[in-house]
Amino acid sequence: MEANGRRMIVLGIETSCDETAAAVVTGSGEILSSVVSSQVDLHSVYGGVVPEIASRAHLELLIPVIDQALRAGATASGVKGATASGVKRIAADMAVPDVVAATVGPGLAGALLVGASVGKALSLSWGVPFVGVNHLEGHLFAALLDHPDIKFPVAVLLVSGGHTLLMSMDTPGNYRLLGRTVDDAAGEAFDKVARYIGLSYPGGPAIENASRGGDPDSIELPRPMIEKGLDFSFSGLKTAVVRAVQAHPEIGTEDIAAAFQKAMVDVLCVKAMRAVAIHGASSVCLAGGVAANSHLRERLTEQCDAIGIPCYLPSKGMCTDNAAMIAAAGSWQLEHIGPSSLSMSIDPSMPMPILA
Amino acid sequence: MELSYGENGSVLRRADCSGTPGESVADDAGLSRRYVTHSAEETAQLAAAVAPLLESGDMVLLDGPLGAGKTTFVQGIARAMGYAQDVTSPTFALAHYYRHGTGDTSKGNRGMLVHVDLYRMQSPAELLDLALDEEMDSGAVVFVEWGGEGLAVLRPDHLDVTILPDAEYSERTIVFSSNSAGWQDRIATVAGALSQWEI
Repeated sequence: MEANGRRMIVLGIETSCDETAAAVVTGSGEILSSVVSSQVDLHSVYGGVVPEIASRAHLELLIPVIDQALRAGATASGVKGATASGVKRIAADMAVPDVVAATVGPGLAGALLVGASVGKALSLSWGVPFVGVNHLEGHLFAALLDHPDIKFPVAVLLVSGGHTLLMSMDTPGNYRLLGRTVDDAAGEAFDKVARYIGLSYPGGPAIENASRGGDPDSIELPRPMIEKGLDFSFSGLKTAVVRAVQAHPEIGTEDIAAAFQKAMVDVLCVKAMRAVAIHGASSVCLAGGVAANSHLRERLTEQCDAIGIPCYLPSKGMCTDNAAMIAAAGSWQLEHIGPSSLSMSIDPSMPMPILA
Repeated sequence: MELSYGENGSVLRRADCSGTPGESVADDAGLSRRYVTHSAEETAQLAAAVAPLLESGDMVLLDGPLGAGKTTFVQGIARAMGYAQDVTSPTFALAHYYRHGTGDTSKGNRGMLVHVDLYRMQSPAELLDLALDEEMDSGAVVFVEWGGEGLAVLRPDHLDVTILPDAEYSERTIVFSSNSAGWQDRIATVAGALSQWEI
């Protein structure tokens, strides 16, 4: 998409949970810059996301992160005279983004407010449109940034700390919800099990690392709801781990981690492949923080290979929360739906935009 | 508002996720009733049996270790209260809000159910940000997981629901307790419905 005869430049802002992120992306999906200032170090002390700290850190980090993204984006774009542009000096030159896109939900209320407010303020002061983006839809656009030639309809398995969804993306903007968790999210189960067995936060990488030295068949764990349907349930799996640890305190952390991870991956893969079979998807795509899990990536790829359909894996940077995906979603939204009102409010429990 | 600090600077946590819940669930005076359920469905049914007792502004503190069935209890409540939405774990979002119908808020929060999970929280300042007292003052019924003793000051007449799984997690002892004589009277009115789980 072009603006005033040149490439459209989108500034994306993401502050829904752990990460303070800003990115500059072109209307055609070229990432000019993507800055993520992870707050995980701050949170690891607490064994979980600490909301108040999250909002405060977003407040402190967001302007420097945006500044860095704009400077790097201007350099990458090769716009003459734009190399020194940043949020502080941007009025002095012409490299003002054509649109500002910020996550407005779902997520932590205080954290969302920081990003959305800054996004609106920049949009107002620069005189460019503001677009409020759904974080979950952003994860789908992460897949499109990595794989612009994705084969539709694609069955998307979105697995993160707050969400576990199976969706069909028939085209961008056209989604069907196929299944979701009825209790805990997959990433939440990773975090809670990790904390229970004394591993660090975030639980996903901690369990993956610990599982390398473990025997996945050391304890027998259930595969909840694996027999039928496309919904997930991980609360019972979490409880089964607690029960196994209490019944067999002698079993090592590595073994428990390996057994839990295997059970989790078994369920995720079976459901994703069942979605393909039922809904006739042409490909499978992984999204969300849990998509960084190597075991899940390998197993899902094997199963897609076996039936001859592509399995799109997100790059590590696109698994976790980032602003490039928000910019990409915002760019699409501006073109196909239009700008958002500056009075648009954040929605901590915003659902996925499913078109009936 | 005062919030008490526990050991190790932990402010709000009563039952640590790796430990066992507080032992003294029964207060000297007021309500203390024990029931036993044998499945998640039974836990939800027992919750549904007390749902008609809930009144605007009520606070219920749910206690119990990881996997005890706290969210299952709220699922039973929400179903009985007629909410159409699925009740899932609010750990990530901190709070999930359930409203009837179109979300018309012209009558305040009357009829709204708030399901809070403070598993990830450590400081009382964050709790104040959630403004639970305001939600209750405007009519919401609030259920809190991982709330801890610190929350009791918001509603001294709250109901405590403690869920204690046995070693096999096949049986749950569910204890209703409260300092409030009001809750003692209210629970008594559904004694018949609860009798099947009584011990």
